[in-house]
Amino acid sequence: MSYRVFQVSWDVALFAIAEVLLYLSYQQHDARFHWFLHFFVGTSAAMVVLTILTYGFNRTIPFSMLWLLLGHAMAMFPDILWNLQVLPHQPWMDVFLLHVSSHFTPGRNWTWYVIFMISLGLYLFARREMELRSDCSLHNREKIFERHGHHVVPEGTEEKS
Amino acid sequence: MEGRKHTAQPYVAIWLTVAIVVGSWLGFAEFQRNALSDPDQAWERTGMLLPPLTYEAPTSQLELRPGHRAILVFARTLNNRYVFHDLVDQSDLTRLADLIVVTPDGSRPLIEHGIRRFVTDHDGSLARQVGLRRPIDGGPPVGYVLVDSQAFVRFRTLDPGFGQRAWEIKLLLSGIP
Repeated sequence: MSYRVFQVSWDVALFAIAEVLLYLSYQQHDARFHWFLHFFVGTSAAMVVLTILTYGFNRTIPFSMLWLLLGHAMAMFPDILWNLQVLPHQPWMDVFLLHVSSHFTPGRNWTWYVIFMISLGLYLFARREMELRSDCSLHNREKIFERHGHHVVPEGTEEKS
Repeated sequence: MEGRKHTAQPYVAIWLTVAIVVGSWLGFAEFQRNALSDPDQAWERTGMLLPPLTYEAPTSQLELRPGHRAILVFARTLNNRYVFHDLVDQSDLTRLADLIVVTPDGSRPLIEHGIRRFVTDHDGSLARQVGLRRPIDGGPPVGYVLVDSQAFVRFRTLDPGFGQRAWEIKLLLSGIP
């Protein structure tokens, strides 16, 4: 259990470090508004996909933080082209998670913040549902074992020979 | 089964923590905005050109040269200031387009080399004609406008940091005939 917490914490820490670095890079270009915008859009999209996959496969999807980072990277890709001085923004760049038109959503970044929080809520709900369902199926299996006279030993408490 | 019960509590705690941290961060960033910025940030430095032959520039007031692109820099005052921090970039820009500096007070920068014209815009009428918006503080706009060789406005933005945007201007000019 402690190993799992350690692992999850490192995922989150690496994600947080990567995002802070991206934020500082945007801040250096006086473009914090754009960091927030593409962070919200990209991670929201990633969390919606993660929610669907979690429900669909009924298990935790690994590397969830990497999914979020990739979602953000996709949403900000035209900014990378801009910073590398390759190409100014163009309407077709909406293929990168609405990179252009997402700027003009009514309510601007506060609207995207609300969408981000809803997406996070959905994903956390899916995670909890999945854990409840897996608990239920484990409980049922235990009952069947007990009905057939088998003794169920909780995981991790087996006697060592 | 005692040890395996899942409560919603950790999930709610995660959700609330993220809501508070990210919401405060966003609020702080909004609070810290430059008073010379656009009140609606979506219109500031869009990075996207306006469609051609749509927004005509006031040719006579700016005395635009036919067949030449122009960069209109709008500043509040240029007393004791350079127009661009990086003079190499400034000289690069003046090779690409005519550099016209517009101020409400008619002031001039320390280095005038490379600047084609100075225009005084006392009442902000020129800024309105090229479609520049009012900054947060309601004063004259600070930013830049790019005009194509057919005298149509192709890009406009408020930008208090215009002095450091030479490379952005060059990138945008690469898409303007």
